[in-house]
Amino acid sequence: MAADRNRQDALYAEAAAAYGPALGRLARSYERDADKQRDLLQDVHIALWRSFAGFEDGCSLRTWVYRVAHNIGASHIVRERRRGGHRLVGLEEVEATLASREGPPALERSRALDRVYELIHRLKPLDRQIILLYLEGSDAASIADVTGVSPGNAATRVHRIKSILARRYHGGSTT
Amino acid sequence: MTNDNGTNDVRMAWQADNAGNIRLSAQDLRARIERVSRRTSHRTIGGLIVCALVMLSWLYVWSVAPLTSGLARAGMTIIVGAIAVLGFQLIVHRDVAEDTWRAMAERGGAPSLAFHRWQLERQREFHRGWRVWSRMLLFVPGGVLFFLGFAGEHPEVATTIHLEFAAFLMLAAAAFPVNERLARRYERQLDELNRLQEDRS
Repeated sequence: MAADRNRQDALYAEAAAAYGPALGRLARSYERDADKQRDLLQDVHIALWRSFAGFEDGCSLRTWVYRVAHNIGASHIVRERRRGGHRLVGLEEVEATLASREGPPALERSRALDRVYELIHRLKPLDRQIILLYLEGSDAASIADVTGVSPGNAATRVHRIKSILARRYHGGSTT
Repeated sequence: MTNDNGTNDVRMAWQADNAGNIRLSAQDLRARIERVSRRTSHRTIGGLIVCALVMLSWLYVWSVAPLTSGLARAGMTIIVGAIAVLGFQLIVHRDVAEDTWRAMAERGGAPSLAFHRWQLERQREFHRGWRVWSRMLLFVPGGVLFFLGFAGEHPEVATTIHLEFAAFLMLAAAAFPVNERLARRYERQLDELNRLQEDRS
C-alpha cells in the first residue's frame, strides 16, 4: 500500500518535472480566463496524480500524461459550453475560411503566439488536442497513439495544421 | 505545398512559451481533493433543500388558496411530486456522473477518442429512449389533470385556460422531435469519430 503510494508520488513528480510547462500551455489553450486557467491546471495535476494509481507500464509516461491532461481539458470545454460558450469549429472550417482571405503579413513572434492561442480556442476538443500535440513536438504516429485517431487521419490533420499555421502566420509563405 | 520550415518557428516559439508551471506537493493534492469532495456534498445537500422547499411552498399555497377541483388538486400534486423526483434524480445522478466522468478522464491507458465517444454517447442517451419518456411521463399527466380541473373550477376563464392547455400539449409534443434532433446531432458526431479511427489509406 505504502509502496503503491510512493510509486504514485514518484510518477507524479517525474511527470510534473518533465511536462509541467507543456501542461501550463495546455491549460492556457483550454481556458482564456486567467483564474479559471489556474484552476484547470490544478485539476489537471490532481487528475494526473490520481491516475498514476492505475498507471499501466504498457504505455509511455508521455502518452499517459497527454491522454489524461487532454481528457480533463475536453471535459472542461463541455462544462463551459453548458454555461453558454461560443461555437467551436473544426480544422476544415478554419482552413476554408483562410482560403477565402488574403494571408496577413508575417507576424512578430509574441503576436504570432497570441494568434495561435486565439486559433486553438476556436477549435473542437479533438482538433484542439491534435494541434496542441503537434505544437508540443509530436509526430503523426504519436498523435495517433495518444488520441486513438488512425495514423493516416493523424497525418492528414497534421498536414492541414501545417498549412493553416503557415498561411496564417507567415503571410502565405510556405518555404 | 507546405513543409515544416513554414511552421517550425511557430512550434519553437510555442515550446519556449512559459504559460505557467506548477507542481503540487502531496499535501496540496490531498487537501484539494478533499475540498472538491466537500464542495460536492454541500451541493447535494443544497439541492435536496431546494426540493424540500418546493414541496413546502406547495403545501403553503394549498393552505392559503386551496383548489376545490379534485382533478386540479391531483394534477398539481403530481406536478410538484414530479419536480421533486426530477430534482432528486438530477442531483444524485449528477454526483454519480461526475465521479464516473472523472474516472473516465483519468484513464490514461485508453486513447482520448474513447473518452470523447463516452461523452457523446452519454449526451445522446439523455435525449433518446426511456430518459425522454420518463421525463414526459412525470410532467404531462399532471399538467393535463391540472388544466382540465382548473378550467372546470373557473368556467369564467375556461377559454384562456384551454388555450394555455393547447400550448402546453404542443410544447410537450414538440419535445420529442427536438430531443430526437439533438440525439441525431450527437449521433453524427459519433459517426465522425468512428471515421477518424478508420484509415483511409
